[in-house]
Amino acid sequence: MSGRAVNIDETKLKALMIAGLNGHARAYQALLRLSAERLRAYFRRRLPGREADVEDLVQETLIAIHRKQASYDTTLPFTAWLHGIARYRLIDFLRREYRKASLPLDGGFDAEDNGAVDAILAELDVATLLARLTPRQADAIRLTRIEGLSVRDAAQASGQSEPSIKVNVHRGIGRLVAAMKGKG
Amino acid sequence: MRTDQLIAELAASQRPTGNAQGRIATALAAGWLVSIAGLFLFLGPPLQEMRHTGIASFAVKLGYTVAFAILSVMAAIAAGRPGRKLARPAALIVVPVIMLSFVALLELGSADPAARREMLFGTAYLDCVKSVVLASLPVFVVLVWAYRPLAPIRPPAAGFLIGLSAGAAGAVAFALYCHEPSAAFLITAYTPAMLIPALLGAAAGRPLFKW
Repeated sequence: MSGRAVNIDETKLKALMIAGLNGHARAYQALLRLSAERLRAYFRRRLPGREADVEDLVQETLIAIHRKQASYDTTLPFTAWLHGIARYRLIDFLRREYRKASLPLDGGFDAEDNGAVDAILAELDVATLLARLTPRQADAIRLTRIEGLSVRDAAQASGQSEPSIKVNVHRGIGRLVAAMKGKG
Repeated sequence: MRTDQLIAELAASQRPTGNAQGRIATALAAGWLVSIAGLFLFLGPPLQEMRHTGIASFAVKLGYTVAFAILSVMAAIAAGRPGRKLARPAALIVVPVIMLSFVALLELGSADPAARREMLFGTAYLDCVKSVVLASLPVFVVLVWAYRPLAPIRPPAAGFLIGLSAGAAGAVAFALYCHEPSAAFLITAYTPAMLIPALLGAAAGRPLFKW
């Protein structure tokens, strides 16, 4: 019985994906919504109790679906493709997490920094904080939160798309908060 | 940001998607033309050696390198499509190698033992390898660019196959200049020469095809 349900899902998802590839925004939006549900369940099973990370991964995977949609071979099942994308994003996430855990997190100011003007110090502080992030996250935060650009202008200035500016701001600030808490 | 909002924005920016295969085929042809132009500058007009090697030898060379290029590109595309199995397209690349090895063995078997060494290693072995590798470089660059819409699950494998495709395209270009008549030379010189960009591609695969 569940096999049948899966097949119905597959047929429906594939039809939506093909319509989406042809530029139908509504079919595509429905596809992303249904995919988000599946992805949430998929990541929850693998990262139990880590809702924030699960939601980040869902969003990252949705963006990957969007950017890599041309890699879908329409003769193959959509769910196999979705699973491949989700698995790659999960592995990438775990790898980044492992790397972050194995790097020493503190490394703020040394004694040599004393005597600097306050404003420079404040700016340095921001730069040090932003240096903890990926360049794209740092750019997104600097442009929108420090230079005060709109998301649209920030997207133009940085060459990132608007959704990815938003995601990068969101993820970057999350990471900064986590880093500052860790530091005490 | 909320996921619903992200979905709405992604959907709003949705446009009809281009065909990744066509993009790669165009890039391959464009890169190949650049290679040909480069060889023309260094080695002069093509097809001058055919008078010495004969049309049959040239046809074997062209057939082998073209088949190798097509099969490698098909495998490279498969490596960029999540959900597709890679084993069969990758195994198919070996078919022309096996077929040509048979031809080479027959040819060597019927040849005068004293001539075998030259049939295997030619008279300008390193020049051939170098030319094929250099001719593969422009193809490699455009193929990496054309590959961007694809989503390689195993970047080193994708890099290997992209490099192999570029190497094969470089070999197709150099085949127009090669003066070695034997099939054995294609196995001993062309095949390793095509593997050099493939290994470079595999080594650079992770940073090159990260997504």
